[in-house]
Order: sequence, then structure tokens, then C-alpha cells
Amino acid sequence: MTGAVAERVALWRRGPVSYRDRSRRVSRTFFFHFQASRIHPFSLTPSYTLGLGVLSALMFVVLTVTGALLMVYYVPSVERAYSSTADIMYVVPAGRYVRNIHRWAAHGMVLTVVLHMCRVFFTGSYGAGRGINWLIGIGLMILTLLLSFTGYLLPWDQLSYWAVTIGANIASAVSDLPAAAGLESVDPGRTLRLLLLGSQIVGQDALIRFYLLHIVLLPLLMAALIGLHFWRIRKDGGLTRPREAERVPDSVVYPRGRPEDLILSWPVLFWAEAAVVSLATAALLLAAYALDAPLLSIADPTAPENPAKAPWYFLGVQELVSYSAFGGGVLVPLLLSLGLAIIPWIDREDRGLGIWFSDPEGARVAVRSAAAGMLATVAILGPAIGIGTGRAWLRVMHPLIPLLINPATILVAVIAGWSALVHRTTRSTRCTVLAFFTASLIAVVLVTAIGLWFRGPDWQFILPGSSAGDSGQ
Amino acid sequence: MKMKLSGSSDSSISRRSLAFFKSSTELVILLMASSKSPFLTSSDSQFLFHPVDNAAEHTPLDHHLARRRFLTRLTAGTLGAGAMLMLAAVLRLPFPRVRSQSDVVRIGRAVDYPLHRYTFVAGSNVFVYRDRKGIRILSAICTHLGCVVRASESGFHCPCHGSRFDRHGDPVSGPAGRPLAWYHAERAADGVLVVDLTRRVSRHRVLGV
Repeated sequence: MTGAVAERVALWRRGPVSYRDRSRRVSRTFFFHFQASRIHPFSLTPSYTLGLGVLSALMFVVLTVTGALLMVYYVPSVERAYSSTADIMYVVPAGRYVRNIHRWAAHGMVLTVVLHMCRVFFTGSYGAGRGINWLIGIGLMILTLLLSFTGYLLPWDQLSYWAVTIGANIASAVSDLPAAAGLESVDPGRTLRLLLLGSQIVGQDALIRFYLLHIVLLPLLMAALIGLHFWRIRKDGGLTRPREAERVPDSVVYPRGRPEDLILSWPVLFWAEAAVVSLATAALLLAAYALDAPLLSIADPTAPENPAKAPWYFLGVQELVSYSAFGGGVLVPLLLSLGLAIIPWIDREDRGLGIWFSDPEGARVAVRSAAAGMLATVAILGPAIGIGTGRAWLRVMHPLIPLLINPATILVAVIAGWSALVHRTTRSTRCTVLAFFTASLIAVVLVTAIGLWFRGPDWQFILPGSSAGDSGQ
Repeated sequence: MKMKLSGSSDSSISRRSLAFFKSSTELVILLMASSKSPFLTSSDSQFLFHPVDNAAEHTPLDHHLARRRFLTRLTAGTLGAGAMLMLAAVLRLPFPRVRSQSDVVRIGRAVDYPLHRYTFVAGSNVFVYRDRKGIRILSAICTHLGCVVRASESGFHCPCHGSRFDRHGDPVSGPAGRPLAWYHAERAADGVLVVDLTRRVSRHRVLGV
């Protein structure tokens, strides 16, 4: 059988047979050539990858398709944004279903991208020359969050309006630092706010900007970075794997594993991916069928909801911002992103590469760091919630002090201190970054949980279930 | 007539921008070709500006290489400078010229507001406080991140991040650092209160009744 037509027919009729046929099938088909024609069998271990990378990519595809469908009816004008979204929900055939899929895929993508980062981190897969791809991954996570943010602004309901207002003011809060230092003329926050809103008020100019970001700029950037991310996986020699997984250790001649160690992607890898994709799609469709994406009442510039809660993935930021706009909204997110970004350059040990937590010591460090992170979060936020942050008292000394010293920044400082302590005792950079990552992760999860379940009207501390604290988003 | 006018103004704009482009390109070339230019090595500038001086020491190949180097750098420099100029011009686009214009709202007659309490005026997001001395206007925008605060027994509270203010608008607890703003109010000729939301005043300033 020769000739392109004959081969394509054969693909569907009986599949390629010979090894050469099979590998050619992958490299010559557009939708398969993103992947290597041969992979290491370890890359198929479900408990290793958890399919999270594939899931994240799937969510992006689903979001692109459903997003394009929603654009058929959505109108990005302040007058019509809400009514067109309501039309999609209540009038357009299958509109509610498509919007639900879009919303739950967006939530799913935040979840899978963060979990994917955790998987990559805990298996040490940022090592062995994969630093650049880790960095691209961090960029993709930030883009995912920005896309989510710009997305829930578009319906112009109560959530949208107050999220734009708060987001723009967090951007303005960048200037709190120079202002507190006595440099009122240095005002980058004003420029940033103008760039976001296109005006001094939250209105049509802001909506069209966020729409443009959501449907053009951020998705294009994301698609480009996803391409780069995939390409780097190939260039870095496929997924990481433990040394024990090699029958013959990697060599200079075969940096991606010896050919006899590899298996053909067709069809094994594609079966595995098809399984993950089908299960996730099924779950998504079921969720979209059972649960409606929220649409609050139309934007009311005179009264936010009480409490006005962001979607769950931003409740951590909202909780931190409730201690300090600059500390929680600017400084801590910046420090955490920076800390994440430099991990591959802090830890270059490649210790226990491809093994969860590297080794028993790494696992011990992770467990202790989780406990330390939990303890630190409760010990710092507990008193802050119980007796207040003493801002008024701190401000008497100097306006800079409450900006730099508040529960949010103290928490980061304690986590950094804990990481330094672990470094002193273990003398291992892998253990240091394990301590930093695990403690930060636990802190973020706990702070998010406080925002989600323990905050009620007026952002007062409540016990879960004692009142309608959960916004259900 | 109108068509003609607009057409001529268009062409004058394009003529002017063309002239600007030409002159800036010439400037770039001039700067790059000047004897102090970092784009040229000393031998290049010597070749360019003193072509007859010690010409005997230079072989034709030297001349050729210097010329090639100069032309390469000239091209790269022009392209680079042009790209930078265009980028600078294009990136100016998302920053509109916003003037801080006065934001004046009319909020009805003073006598319609009850005594000794803060009354929320929804359209303009202010509280009106009226007592025997007169009228004062307090902003309802939280100084933390811009939500609208609500009046309570003890003062004001913000639903977004839990900032609390006392009855004078001073921050009591929560993340807000600055007091709520007091605005300038006037009485128009028809007796209606006019509030200037861009003009802040001292908390003691009262508009007499």
C-alpha cells in the first residue's frame, strides 16, 4: 500500500501495521505530530502523570470551541452584555448548556493546571534542563487565571462589575508603595488602571478591553505558549522518568532513551489519551447538564452583593486583600510567582528525578512542610481574624509599615524562613524548594478555604453553614 | 465644500506625517553616520569622512569591507530605529487622553433629607448628613478597593473586604487605610444641592441651611 490516499483509508479501516507505518502515521498527521512517534513506556504510568497535562490542553480546546459559540450571541456593550448573556441562558437553543460547559471547563482548567504544576513539581520534573519549560508552565498558569478573570467580567452582572472595580483598584494599589514612601508623583498604578479601564470610571471602555483580552490577546498568547510548552517537552527528551525505569541508562548518543527502550506512540499513547479525554469530556458534559453557571443580578454600581465573593480560585487573593490591598493584592502574588519561577534555578540537584517527593527524606520534608504551612497560616491569620491586624496602631509609626508588615506578607516571610531552616538542616536544595512549595501550597489552600467557607456578610468570620456564606461559584 | 475641507485637512496631515517621517529618517541616518557614532569603528569613520587621507595605506579590500560593514549597520540601525519609533507610536494607542473633568451631581433639596442621619444617594454614591448647622456630603466609596460601603449603627462597613469606618468616615478596622472623602457641596439657584465629586473638602466644612 503506497500513496497518501491509500494510507489514510488504511488508518480508519485497519490501522497501520508495520512499525515504520505506525511511526510515520504520527509524524505525518497534523494532530498527532505534536507528540513523539516513540515514547518511553514509563510516560504511560497513570499514577505518574495523572493525565493532567492532557486534561489542561483538552480544557483549552473545549473553552475555545464553546467560547466561539458563545460569541455568536454575546454583545460586549454595557447595555447589552447582561441581556445577551441572559438570552444565552434562557432563550438561545442549547445556549445554557454551552455556557455551562464553558464555565465548568474554565473552573476545570484552573484546577487541572494547578494540579499539573503540583505533579511536575513533586516529581522534580522541572529538573534536568527543563527550567525553561517550567517557566513557560508558570506563564500558562498565570494566563489561565487572567483568562478566568477576564471571562467572568463579561456578563456584566454584579460579580463582573465589582470584580472589575476591585481588580482596577488593586492595580492602582501598586502606587501605595511609592505613595507611602513619600513619592506621590511616582504613580505606576494610575497608568496601569488607565490601561485596564481605558477611562477613569468602570464602564464601556473597560468592558471592551476585557473582552478583547479574553477573546483575542490572552488566547493567542496562550495558544503560542502551549505550542512552545509541547515543543519543549519533545526537545527536553519527553517526560521525566526515574533512573530505574531505564533498562539502559540515558547516554549522550541517545539522550531520549535508547530506541530499544522506547515504544511506538501509535496506538498505545493515543488509547491512553483517548481514555483521559473521553472520561473528562463525559464528566464535563454531565456537570454542565446538572449544574447551571451562575448569573447574578445585573450590575448595580450603587451596591455590591454582601458578601461580594470572587469565584473560588480567587478567594485566596480576596482573603489576603482583606488584610492589605498592596500586601495581599500586589506584593504576595508577585513574591509567590517569583518564588515559583526561580525553583529550577534554586534546585539543580536533579535528586530523585521522576520520583514523587524524590526519596523518603523528601517525602518527610514535604509532610513536615505541610504541617508547618498549616500551623503558620492558622497562627498568623487566627489572631488577625480574632483581634484585628492593628493597622491603625501600625500606621502611627510610618505609612510604609502596614503595607509591608501585614498578615499576608508575614505569612510569606515565615514560609521563606521555614525553607531556609530546612536548607540549613538538610543541606539539599531539593528539600529547600520542597519546603517552600509545599508550605506555600498548603497556605494558599487554607487561605482559599477561609475565604470560601469562613467569610460571611461584611467579610466577617463565620463558621461554615451558620449562614449563607457560600456563593456557590 | 465640506467634503473638500475635510479632504484637504486629511492630506495636510498625511503630508506632515510624511515630512516628519522623512526628517526623522534623515536624522537617524545622520546620527549613525556621524563620526562619533557608536555604529562606526574609527576606521569606518576615517574612510567615510576622510576618504583621501592616507588612502594609500588602505587596500581596495579594506575599503570594500568598511563600506560593507557601514552599510550593514546602517540598514540594521535604520530598521531597528524605525521599528522602535513605530512601536512607541503604536503602544501609545491604549492610553487615551483622559482629562479629569468635573463630576458634578445634583442630589435634590436639602430639606428633603432627614436630620441627624446619613442618607444614601444611590445614583452618586454619597451619603448626605444633615443637622441644624447644615449639610455635609460623605463619599460612600470604600478607600480600600472601591466598593460601596453601607451605613450601620456604628458607622459604615464595606461588604467586599470588611473595612469599617466610624461615623466620621475614619477607618476603624479592616484593610482600608484612608478615611472616606468629604465632598464640596453648593446650592444651585433653584435650591437643589450640587455636589462636586472631584473636589474634596475638610470634614468640618458645612453648607449652611
